[in-house]
Amino acid sequence: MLLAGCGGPARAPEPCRNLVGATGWNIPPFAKVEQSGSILVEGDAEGAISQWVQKSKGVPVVVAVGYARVETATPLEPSDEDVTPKLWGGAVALANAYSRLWRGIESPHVQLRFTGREAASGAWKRFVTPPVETWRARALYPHFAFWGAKLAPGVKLRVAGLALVPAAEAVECPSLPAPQPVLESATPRQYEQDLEPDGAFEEPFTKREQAGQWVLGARYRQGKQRADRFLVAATEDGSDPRLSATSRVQTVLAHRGVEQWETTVPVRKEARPVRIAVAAAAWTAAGLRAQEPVFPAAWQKP
Amino acid sequence: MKRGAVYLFLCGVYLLYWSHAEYFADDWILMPLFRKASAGGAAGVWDLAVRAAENRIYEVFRMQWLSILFGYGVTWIGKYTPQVNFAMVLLLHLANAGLLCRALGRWGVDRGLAWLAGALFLVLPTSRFVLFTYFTNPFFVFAAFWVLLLLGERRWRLAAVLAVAGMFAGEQVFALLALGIPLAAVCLSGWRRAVPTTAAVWGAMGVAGGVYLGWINVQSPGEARRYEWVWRTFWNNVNLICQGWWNLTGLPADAPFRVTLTVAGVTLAVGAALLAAAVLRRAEKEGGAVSLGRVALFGAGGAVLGYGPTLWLAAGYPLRYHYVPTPFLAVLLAAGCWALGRRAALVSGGLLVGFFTLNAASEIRQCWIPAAERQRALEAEVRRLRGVEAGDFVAVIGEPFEFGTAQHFSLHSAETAGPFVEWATGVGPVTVARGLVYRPPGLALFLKWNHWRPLTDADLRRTHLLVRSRHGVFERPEWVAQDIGRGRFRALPLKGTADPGGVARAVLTREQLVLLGRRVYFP
Repeated sequence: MLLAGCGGPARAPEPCRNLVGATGWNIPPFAKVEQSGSILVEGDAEGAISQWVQKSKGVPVVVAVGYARVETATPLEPSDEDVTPKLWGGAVALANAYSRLWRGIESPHVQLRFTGREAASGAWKRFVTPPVETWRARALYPHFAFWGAKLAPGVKLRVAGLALVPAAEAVECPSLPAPQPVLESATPRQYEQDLEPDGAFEEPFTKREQAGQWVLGARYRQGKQRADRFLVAATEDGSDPRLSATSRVQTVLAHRGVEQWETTVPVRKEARPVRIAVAAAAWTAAGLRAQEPVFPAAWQKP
Repeated sequence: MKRGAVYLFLCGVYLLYWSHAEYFADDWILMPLFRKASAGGAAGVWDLAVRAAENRIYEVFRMQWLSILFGYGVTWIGKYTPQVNFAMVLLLHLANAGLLCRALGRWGVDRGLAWLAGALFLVLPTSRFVLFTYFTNPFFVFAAFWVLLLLGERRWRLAAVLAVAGMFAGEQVFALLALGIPLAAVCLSGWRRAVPTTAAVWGAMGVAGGVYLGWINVQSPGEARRYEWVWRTFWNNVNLICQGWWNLTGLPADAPFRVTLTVAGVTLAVGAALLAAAVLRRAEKEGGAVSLGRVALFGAGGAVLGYGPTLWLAAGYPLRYHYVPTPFLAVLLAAGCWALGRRAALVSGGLLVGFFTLNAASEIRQCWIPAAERQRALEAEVRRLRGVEAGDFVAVIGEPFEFGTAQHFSLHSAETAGPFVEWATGVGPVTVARGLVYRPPGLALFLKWNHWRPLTDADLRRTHLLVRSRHGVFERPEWVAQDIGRGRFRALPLKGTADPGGVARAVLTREQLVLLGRRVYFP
């Protein structure tokens, strides 16, 4: 199943070694293992989907990685508003827990939260916990934690791909278990340091008309600092789309491992001049941060 | 090796800070006054002296005029070079340690113990904060106290003069000045011999205090929180002191700095430990006339007198209050080492001196050097601001208030931020803020705790914004995004930004503004 997936604990080279094993999972009664390997949670949930892991020599720091996605009975508005309170009460978290001698269990964790846009996308969202120094630990206890969680009627939460890796950089390892498709997100360092993406758009930009709308296509090669979305801003009066009251902005979420993307922009047939700008952006600790926009020649209409 | 030379070596750890020395906090308030005084010649200096004595600099009651004048003297000699001020502070700290050692020896305390007390005083973290603050510290008057103690009961006239000088240090040293000699006499010799000197000191302090309060000072003593005593703060301050001792060791997980091993730190620490052990070994044969219990009693009594007046202070517990009692803590620690036996004292004394040297290196590297570097970077950035005029606003955002034990050198308080920016730009007056926030119904500058200044669009056109990003680069946004609800914003231009297209009147979305990159600031 995806929880242990293709990475596995065995002899993978450092630092892409996954300490989580394929067996030994504790699956609570409220969770159902699906055919695909993901785990479905509905209704009330209290407990943990977990595994005890012995700490390994030569692994001073561990980071837990996991994936989650939600389905709702009624569609959510694709906004950047945090819609988690509408999805469930209580809290759901990915925990990089560990037990300490005489001192119980410590649970550094990251809460599972979704914006309207992420929830509506139907794609998986990746979560990465804070690192834990293993010298503090007797044993490691990575888990999806459900702390008095009450999922709203019609909400289905799926979790998958829990891995425990030796360093923060290792979360990018392709050998780790991961469902598809996964939303792109800023790296932990990029998020903390409020860095804009540093990838680049590549030619060709494409444009075709379809049912009164323009279907715009672009290719973006991710850099070290990731872009989790693309902003496409258009004006039909020739004004600068960045500071014009007539500008309309579309947000397209980026997916991991996918460079080519498309979006539709409503443009009146007789409108001219049309100016369209596109920029890669990422949500960081200080808010939304965009790269310098580009104005692809193929998308402009003089 | 000469014992004094070892003290000099111990002070060497503070030279790690030498090339980073910068002016700090109140220095920014006083420097413009110093410049003005120098420019005015003898009359200017006299005017500064009168203003300091009458308490018309801070406009609150303080007994600090002698420290301020001393700071002026050093700054004038050093021509506004912070290294000169820092060197003077180090020399005074060194002098205090030497005087402590000599005074204890003079009163019959074991020479080795007295030397160890001075050595520990040099490196104890509780004595450290004031080393990096130049103009408003109690060093030289505190040195006066030790001279006073050194003279003991013999020179009562000089003792009275020194006690009066000590009163105007600006710190809470009154109890120590008044009761230090009787304490030393009771603990270390006999109280009868101290009666004439004590009487002279008390008389002089009473007369000087009366004259100062009655005829010179123009401020009401009740209004200055540094001199406001409140009963309910007692246990809180005791708790803060004990917590401060533990945190300043650099050992707890939440300490303001952590003791770490660096080449320079370890080298200095090992050298300090070995030298201290060598001095203590040589002093093994020198005994003392005073019992260890009496020495400990003197240390404890002095610590109580040093901390005592600060225990009821209403204005929190800044680290500088630890300086006055620290010599007595050092005496207590040294006595504790001696209680283990002479051989164990040699080892434990050496280890303590070594540990606190390493502790000093760690604190300087983790707190004071980063704070000084940030101050320099900020000053360079402020100097690059263009078009600053009198009456403008300057908002500096993203600078931390403190770096472990070091406060932000200029922006920690609103009172120092303004003079600093005026110093750097050469323009004044300007209003300096630490934040630009949305505070319904509009934008406002955060000046200090519970103080906001609402901004109109016209005010914004007189506002300069400096934002330190999370990755450590200063940015100068040209626009401010004002949230007007439902995900809509107005982009308002800051000083120097043209708005020929009337953007400020347009209603925009966050995504649109984000496309402007770092040229737009979201409060």
